[in-house]
Amino acid sequence: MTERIVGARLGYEDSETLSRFLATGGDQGLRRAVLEMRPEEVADEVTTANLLGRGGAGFEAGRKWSMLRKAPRRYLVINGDESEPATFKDHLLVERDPHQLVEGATIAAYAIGASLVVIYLRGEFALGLERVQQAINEAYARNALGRSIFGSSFSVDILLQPGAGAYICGEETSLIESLEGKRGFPRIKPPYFPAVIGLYGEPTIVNNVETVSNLPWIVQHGGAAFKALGEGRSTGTRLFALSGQVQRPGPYEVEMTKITFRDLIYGKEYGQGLHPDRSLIAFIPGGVSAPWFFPENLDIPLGQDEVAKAGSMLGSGSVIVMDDTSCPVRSAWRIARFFARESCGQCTPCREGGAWIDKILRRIEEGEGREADLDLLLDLCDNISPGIKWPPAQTTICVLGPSIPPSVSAAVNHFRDDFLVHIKEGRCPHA
Amino acid sequence: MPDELVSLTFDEHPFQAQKGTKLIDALDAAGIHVPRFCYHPRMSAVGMCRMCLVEVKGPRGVSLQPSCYIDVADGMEVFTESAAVKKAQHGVLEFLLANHPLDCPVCDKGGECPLQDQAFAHGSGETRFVEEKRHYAKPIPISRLIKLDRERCIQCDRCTRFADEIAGEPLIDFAGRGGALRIATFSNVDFDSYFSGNVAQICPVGALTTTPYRFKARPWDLVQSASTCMECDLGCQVSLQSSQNELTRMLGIDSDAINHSWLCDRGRFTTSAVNNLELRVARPRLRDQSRSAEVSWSKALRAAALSIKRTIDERGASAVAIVSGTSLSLETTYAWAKLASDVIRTNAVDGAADLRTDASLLLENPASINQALSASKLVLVNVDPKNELPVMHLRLRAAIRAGLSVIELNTTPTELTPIVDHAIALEPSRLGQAVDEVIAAIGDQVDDVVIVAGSRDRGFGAALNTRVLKDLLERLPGAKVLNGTPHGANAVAVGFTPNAPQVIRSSGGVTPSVSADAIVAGALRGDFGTLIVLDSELTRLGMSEADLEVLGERVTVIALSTFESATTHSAAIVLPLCAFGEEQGSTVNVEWRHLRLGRQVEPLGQARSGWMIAAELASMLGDELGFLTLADVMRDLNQSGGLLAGLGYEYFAESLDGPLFPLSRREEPCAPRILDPMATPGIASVDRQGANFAAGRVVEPTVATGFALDPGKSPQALVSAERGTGDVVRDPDPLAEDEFWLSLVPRLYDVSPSLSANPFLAAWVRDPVLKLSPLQGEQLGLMDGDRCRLIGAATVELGVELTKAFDLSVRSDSRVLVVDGLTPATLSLLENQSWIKVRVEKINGE
Amino acid sequence: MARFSDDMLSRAKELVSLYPDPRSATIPLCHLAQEQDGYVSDEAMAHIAELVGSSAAEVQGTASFYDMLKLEPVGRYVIGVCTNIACMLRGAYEVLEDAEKVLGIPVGGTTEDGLFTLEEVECIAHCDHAPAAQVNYRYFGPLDDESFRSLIARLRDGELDDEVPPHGTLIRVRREAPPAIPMTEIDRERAGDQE
Ligand SMILES: Cc1cc2nc3c(=O)[nH]c(=O)nc-3n(C[C@H](O)[C@H](O)[C@H](O)COP(=O)(O)O)c2cc1C
Ligand code: SF4
Ligand code: FES
Repeated sequence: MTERIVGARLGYEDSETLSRFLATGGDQGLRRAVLEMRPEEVADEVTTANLLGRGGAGFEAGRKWSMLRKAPRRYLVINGDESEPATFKDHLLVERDPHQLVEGATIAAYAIGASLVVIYLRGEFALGLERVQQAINEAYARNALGRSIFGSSFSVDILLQPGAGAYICGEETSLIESLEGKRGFPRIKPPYFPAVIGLYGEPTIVNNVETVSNLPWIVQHGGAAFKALGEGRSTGTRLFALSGQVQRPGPYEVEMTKITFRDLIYGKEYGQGLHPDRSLIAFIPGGVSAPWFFPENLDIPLGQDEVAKAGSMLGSGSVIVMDDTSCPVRSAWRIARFFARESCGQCTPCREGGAWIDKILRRIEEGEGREADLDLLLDLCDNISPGIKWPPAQTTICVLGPSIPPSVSAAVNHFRDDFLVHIKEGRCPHA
Repeated sequence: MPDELVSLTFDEHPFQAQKGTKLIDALDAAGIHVPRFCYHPRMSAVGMCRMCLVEVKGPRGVSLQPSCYIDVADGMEVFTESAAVKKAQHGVLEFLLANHPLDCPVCDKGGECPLQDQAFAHGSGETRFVEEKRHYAKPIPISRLIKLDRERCIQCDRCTRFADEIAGEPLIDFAGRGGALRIATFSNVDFDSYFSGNVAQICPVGALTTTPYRFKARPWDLVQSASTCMECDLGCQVSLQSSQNELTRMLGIDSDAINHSWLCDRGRFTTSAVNNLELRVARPRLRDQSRSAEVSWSKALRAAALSIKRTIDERGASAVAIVSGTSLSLETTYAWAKLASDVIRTNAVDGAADLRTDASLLLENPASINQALSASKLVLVNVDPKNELPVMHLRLRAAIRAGLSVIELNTTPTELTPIVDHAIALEPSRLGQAVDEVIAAIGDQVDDVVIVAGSRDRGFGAALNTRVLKDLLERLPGAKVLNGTPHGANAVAVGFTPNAPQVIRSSGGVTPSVSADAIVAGALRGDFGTLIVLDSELTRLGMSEADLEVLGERVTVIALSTFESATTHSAAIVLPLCAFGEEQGSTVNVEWRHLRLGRQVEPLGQARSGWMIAAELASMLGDELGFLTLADVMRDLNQSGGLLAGLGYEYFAESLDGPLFPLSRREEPCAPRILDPMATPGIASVDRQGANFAAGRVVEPTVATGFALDPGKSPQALVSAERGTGDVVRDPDPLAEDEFWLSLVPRLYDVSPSLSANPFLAAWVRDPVLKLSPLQGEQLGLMDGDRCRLIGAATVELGVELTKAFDLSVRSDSRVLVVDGLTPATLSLLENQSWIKVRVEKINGE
Repeated sequence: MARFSDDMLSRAKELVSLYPDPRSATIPLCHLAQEQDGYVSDEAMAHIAELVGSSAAEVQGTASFYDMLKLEPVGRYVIGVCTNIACMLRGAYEVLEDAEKVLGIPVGGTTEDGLFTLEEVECIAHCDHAPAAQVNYRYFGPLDDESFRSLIARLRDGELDDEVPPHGTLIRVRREAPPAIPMTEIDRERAGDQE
């Protein structure tokens, strides 16, 4: 078992309670930060740790903080909108360790001098919302929040904002719009990133739940200790969400780069392999926006750059396993349908292209396909994301649009024969 | 550094552009047209349609960028013709067409549709989309004027941006998400806006259409000419279009000086009134006892001349009175001014009934609209732009958003009140204090102040308006003034009102000295033998219908009119006037800019231009005005040495606004107009909709003088016209406990002949109301929807409306009661006095 | 249905006061309206518009963007069966078909007794319990024919009343904190550390 950081308390039945939190090192990071360190020192530790954002883009948290525009007002927004299909690590963290999240958010607020913190949680996480609100209430009660935290000169409030069911609001600028009471239309960047113009036009840092949940540990143990785990740019540990056709789906915290996908899927302490008699045909390494991997990619280590080098991404840290009883046409369709349903609708290529691809794939799946559809699918993908390459180019405002092609092109290119059976014989070879 | 230039390349050719320019605008300027749908130069960019993608070389290589959204930068390399750009544009176009219905043949937009143009120019001709298209109920009326066809919508955000950002009335917004993203009003609440027609004009497809124009014409059958809207004196530039001798629609032209392409609905839809033949005056009529009969022009004119002559002979020339309260063309106004002063020689004339201020103050140091909007401080005095000069309201909102600092001085809050820097209450007991507050609010930024001076509140007479404006100008000697009264600019420009400085027109005739209010009052007393009403409704000038009957017994009323009205029904002699769009000519607007009027259709029946009628009457009276053609009128004005010295039609280049007067003192850089009412979304549509004015009938230049005035003709110092302002300002007696000052303010849709004749706008006319803040309501024991009796010079029954916005803007100790809406009844509360004291009584149910 | 009741109105105003910009309270207020009426009614949207200073069309524009906000009445229990990839791979569509049979309604429908509305939803982040479903956003899984039937039965019998409140009630824990620190005070404090 590797080192546990964000998931350290998950072994306890009562991990969400204040008593368990306090009995297992809770508050120590925050106390240390606000009572013994200057904000820059906290930020320096995070930079030293090389903590990569856990929300999907994998941007260094310390570097992001350093890009915050200098202004008297600045906001910290914690992104807990987790809706990327098959991703459930933040869900676990907010339900099972809400105090750690609140502590981490407060540390981040201290480091960047935030005027206000908003934790934006996915609306469907009803239990998580209740638990985080409880944790916030308890933090106020013991002066871990509010005025003069733990007697220091630092004061800050945390608000809990429920989402209301829209995947796109996980995208940080869409989330900010949503937080301003609007529909979640992502903003165009460049020129303005949230760190320059964010919530209410003020500089804003958006960090993922898991990202800030690492902060209590980093402050307590030092950035160097975090960096000592993992390798290269991939430091520390990460919570991977393993799902699909494995024996033991679940969340697994692993030290970055130290195990491979094969270990994660087949390892005894992890997924424990596929059903007997079935074989792996493909897996998706980082959420449904990521290009698919195939059996030949199993030995790639779980590291950001390692996966990028192989043409995909670790993204949101979810690994979806497909075996030979599943139909790749259907999988590609279901993913395309997800994006078609979740497009915010402002960009023509995403709104119209997504819906069109959804319809074609569904038609093929239902046995009504034409051979010309395969080239058409690839060409439509190309019109959404020119070149269908990785990392993707885009004709859209945000990267939801360019997230449509990877699954479609992977399926069409890699499982062309399956498509042709659907088209010519009107049946599914996997049924 | 607004003038800083950057160097960049477009398709490997070097170009320079001003820093801060949008790439798409810089490309336009370089003659490179990038297709677009969502971008509109007068609204903020949203980069949503993705049609305008071009390749831009950046530090991380070449990438596709929306040219509407990014600014030019030094060293930028832009590619608009590369394979990647063409592929992306082709792709976006195909996506837009995927769910778009194939109903071009029955779509109003067909033939002038940028999407159609793009499809022809770049589409592959055959569709790869074999799936079922999206379906919506259609068309949905989102107001009486606008219909929505959701299937045609391409989600460009233009209409919604207009409503929110330009009009400040977010009544139409997106609903839903993704493929279901659609335009919606709130649970079918009307898109009830003065400005709704603009959304149809800027919709790049046929999703939003105007009810009056639906299925009326095909774009290729339309002929058009440039003209100026005459519903108010702002002077919005329009493309006036007709088909088969019927006006079909009016579209706004993007004049940088005036309307930025916007129009209000009242202006846009006037064509529907013009086309309502039933309520038009088509032939001359004479009334004999109680019966009225159509007669020939010569008979009618003879009767008119006879009446005038008899009055002059029996009671003197001053017993002939002439009034007008609307906007007549400049030529007509001038011809009547000359007739009145040189032929009839009466001083009882007022062609600017609504203007209640000393107009010399407006002319001494005049500001243009753009100067007003870029002033260091703008002071609004007794003016409600939204209801009086609607498009000015839009321009002001935009300017305020861009940082213009506004101080508002009004008796009654306006819709700008919540967004101005200072709103100062104008009340009789604190006039001096109010002026002090304005001066304090201006602080030391006195250098570049502009005052917009209006005559909005009818409870506020000429003397009061003049005094306030004068006080302000004394304290702010450098301030420029912009006229804020919606009608009468032409009358002021030619001296056809007692409020205007007398030397503007140097004909040496009789100077007007009896105001419209005095004429109306005098006529009722029988002081006049003949009353000539120029395209106006006497009930709008303070007479009741009962008054009209009495009037007929004492005075011969000659009504020149486009539309039927209470006045034409009771007048002894009725002469049909050309409607808007039926005559050539010109006009000046509030900033004294000379603008053209286009003729698109033949006059109805026997209607004639007002200036011709004046010329004929003159000859019947044994004199000559010397006007056989419009050019004759122009020549006279050109040589007048007055405000309009140097006037001529030759300034009307297709792509430029007319000049500001007085010519010698009003220099401005010429900004070309964007002639495309769609604001350039297509390629072919630019030509087709770009108002190809050659197709319309354009006024030919006939007088050939240069732009510059010759020094000998420079205008003389303007002499103040105190005598026009009748009443004197006294300090008001204090109010009794239960008394209030009456504030009577106009609305855009107050009843008028042209509105009553407009089948699409008539329903917008609402009963006047007593408007109270909730606090006032509480104090008076009146609730929303109650009825009350208001007792002033007369007693009037009114509904009560509580307005939340008033709570924020009305002083809590305010002693002013606001009546919203001018009708004969509400005007009777005033009886031509300033500051009427009123009492209010609740009317108990039944 | 209705505007906010007095009790709800005071909660609404409290929420509005938390934010530097009242419009930010739009979504929380929509949830509140839904807690009151089970859905977000037109009257509620108009009321919310007044409270946050938007137009009703804007509130409708926001509310209609989000899946959880229902602009039409729904059943007491809104059952969302996830069919996204992870659940699909483990039999979600079979569960959904069963659900239609068990409840006797198609996806999108509401049972005649007004008790259940059935939805097909995107991933609910319960993939380690796939195939999963949510009932008023309380999560269940892994499900099969049998466990789904028993879930419905238990809901009908009120056995899950503690766990699953009626549709619209999202967060049963109220904020307990001192009044929000005024932004002006924070501004003053932060101005100090900007050198
Ligand atoms: C379509 C889309 C959906 C996203 N969803 C999430 C999400 O659910 N949770 C999240 O933390 N980040 C999500 N992101 C990434 C965020 O935009 C942002 O990068 C992240 O919250 C930053 O936090 P981090 O730096 O701590 O990773 C999404 C991005 C896109 C484009
Ligand atoms: S790419 Fe799609 S989701 Fe992203 S902004 Fe454009 S339409 Fe919205
Ligand atoms: S995205 Fe530029 S014009 Fe629409």
